[in-house]
Amino acid sequence: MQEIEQTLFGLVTFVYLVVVVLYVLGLAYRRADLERFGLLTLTAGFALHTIALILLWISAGWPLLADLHQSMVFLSWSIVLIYLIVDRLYRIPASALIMIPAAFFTVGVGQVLYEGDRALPEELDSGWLVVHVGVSLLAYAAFALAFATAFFYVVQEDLLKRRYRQVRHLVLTLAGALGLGTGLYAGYLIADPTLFEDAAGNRVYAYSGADVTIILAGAAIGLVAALAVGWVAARGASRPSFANRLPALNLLDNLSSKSVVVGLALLAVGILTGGIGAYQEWGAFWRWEPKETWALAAWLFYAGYVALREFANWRGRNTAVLAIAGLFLVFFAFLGVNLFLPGRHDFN
Amino acid sequence: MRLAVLGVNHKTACLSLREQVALNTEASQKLVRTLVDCAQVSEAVVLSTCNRTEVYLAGTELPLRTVAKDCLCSSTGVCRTDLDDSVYYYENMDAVEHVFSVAGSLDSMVLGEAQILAQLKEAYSVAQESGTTGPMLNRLLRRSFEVGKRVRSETKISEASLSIASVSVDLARNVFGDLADRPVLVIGAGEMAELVVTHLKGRGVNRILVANRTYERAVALAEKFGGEAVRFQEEHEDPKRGQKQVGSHPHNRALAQHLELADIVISSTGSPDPIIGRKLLEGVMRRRKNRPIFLIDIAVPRDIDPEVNHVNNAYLYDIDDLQEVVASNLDEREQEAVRAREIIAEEVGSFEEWARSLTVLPTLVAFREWASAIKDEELTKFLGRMPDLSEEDQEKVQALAHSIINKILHPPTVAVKERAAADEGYLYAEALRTLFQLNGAGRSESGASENDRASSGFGSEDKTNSNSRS
Repeated sequence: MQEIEQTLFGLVTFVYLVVVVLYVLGLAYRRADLERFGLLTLTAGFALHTIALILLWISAGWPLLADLHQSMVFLSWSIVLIYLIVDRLYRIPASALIMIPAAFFTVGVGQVLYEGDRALPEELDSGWLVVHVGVSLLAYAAFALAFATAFFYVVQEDLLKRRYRQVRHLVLTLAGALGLGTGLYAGYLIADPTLFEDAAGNRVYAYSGADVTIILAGAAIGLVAALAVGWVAARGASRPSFANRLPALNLLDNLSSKSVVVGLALLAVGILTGGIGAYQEWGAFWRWEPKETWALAAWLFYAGYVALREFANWRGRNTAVLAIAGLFLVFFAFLGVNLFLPGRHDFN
Repeated sequence: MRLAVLGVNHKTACLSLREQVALNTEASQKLVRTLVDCAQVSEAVVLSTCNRTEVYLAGTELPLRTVAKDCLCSSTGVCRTDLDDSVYYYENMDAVEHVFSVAGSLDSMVLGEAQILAQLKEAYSVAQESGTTGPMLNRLLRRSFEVGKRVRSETKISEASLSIASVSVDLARNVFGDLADRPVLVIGAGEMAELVVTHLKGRGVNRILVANRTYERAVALAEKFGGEAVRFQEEHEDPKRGQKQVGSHPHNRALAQHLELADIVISSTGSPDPIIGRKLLEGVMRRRKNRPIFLIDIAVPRDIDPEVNHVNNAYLYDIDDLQEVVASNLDEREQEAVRAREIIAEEVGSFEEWARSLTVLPTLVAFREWASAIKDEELTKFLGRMPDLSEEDQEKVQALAHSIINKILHPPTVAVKERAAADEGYLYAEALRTLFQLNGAGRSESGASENDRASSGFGSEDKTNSNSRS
């Protein structure tokens, strides 16, 4: 069972990679048939993904949030689900270029992190905490969609404002930042620094020289690969016909802000249920742990986004930039804290 | 059977000559009839549009240049020497390639335009009604319609907008998506502004505000557009104000109010100075709560300060910007034309194959007719000598003879058919003709078997031609 399920996850990772290539080619060469085929392949991959999750559920028990592996493959599944729904409703093949790589990346990382099917630790097996983790992950997925649509808002607007010229630096900046982050994280996972407790009882990571080299190499590879893809993409994108194929600014702006509102609500629920669960388990609602702090910071950031939009009439580019910046905060709250600032949330 | 095309188009002839050779339906009908009355011509189609007049011919003998030219001159009254300088003439595969290019709109003034295919169909049906089409042109034109469809569906040659008006609509759609119910403000008047409004209305725009220097003129224009006239104060409001500040003056309240309402603005006034400045628009954007606004400035000198494009959520395109988009779109169409030419080359190839197999067919028909004539003759002789045979036995004898003939004919027929598409296909046909002395019999009505060697050479000869052309 475990073997089948892990083979399936491996297959899903590969299928998502194929889908990414299909969408990139489809957009670059303006081939609608490639995009259709990409969507078909994605749907097939999603079906496999669902089967694998069910198998994992059977062997490890519900919910699938016991370790980072389970959270990652579940998050990836949520991203694809949201993308498929949005694509059904709004037909935005371009946003696939953000969502599907994200899904590929999360499921791929989840694969790397696999250490056997683990059941949820007893202390966490509380209804509140399960809802807490699940809802928080969905919130992150919503923020990812807000990011994707905001990204294309900025691209579409730059194309319009700059008359289809000079968009290269923009695409390169965005792609480079994405590649750098991805590479750093992948490097970290491969290096796998050891965790130990120092004299004062704090758990800290020990980075060896080799670890540092691997992490830096990962960052460099990610950056170079993303810049190369960005260079090609920017070249194809610098023309009116590409802009015509992107969704309209109005739609991207609406979708991005709606995603933020949904994400904000979900994250609020996530934080509250986490607090309640923690109170039941440990007797304290809030402890200012790094993860709690960062999640709260992300929540406040997005609340600021909504406030500015509502009360200061921020629209379009300004809010899009906020939605893009916000995801880096979320990314850190979700992963960075676990990796660099250990606390009670270590397991997940 | 040979094909030929003779004609003039926008590249080879000036407008005045094209006007002279343009033919209406009646004249076209007359011309095709005159053409097929000529001895060498068996089929004829005439295509006449504002950019081209072309004659498509199938005949028994090449060249058909003189015949076609003479008929065209006599039916239009154009002097021959005038035509000589501008006329082009293609034969066989070059002619096929030309017709396919025309159908695929690669030969059009506006690359990828949609009308030519309909015009070609119309020309074909006119010729059909006149009874001047036959197997060759039927095949050629029907195939060309398919080519036209393929080019349009398999390439994006007709996709990118090539006019200022349609580009404006594309851009507005990139901002707003659906344009239905977006209020439009038209400032000033002009042909271009009208065109843009027409295109916008095609996208569901139904609220059009018209502002003009004089209210009366605005009312007249509003009636034309089906919109509503609005007041628009200008310079005379404050005579002390300097010319430079006219547009950017934040107190141009009437204009600001309309800008607050409209999502799309088309400006084309004769004003020497900008009427919408950055400051004015910044104020407007505050009151619009930053709802996006798309401004099209088609006036020269410009009506809207270019700085306006730097205001958040405001998108400004002037005539040069639009022109540039058109140029870039044209470039895209040209890239698509490369793919379209590949499709055409492929189609020319398969037409060539068909034309070659055609030249072998009459020989095979003659071959079969010859054999069955012998069979019938011998059977009649034999049955005449054996009057006592029962009906059943007679049938058996007939079946036997039939079967022997078929068995003998089968291998050579298959072999010749198989080789028909190859370069030396005509050699086999010729061998059959020589060996069985088929020269008199089985000549098809289309005259295809006149001289197998020459008419098969049709294909190979033209292949080299088209290769050297491309």
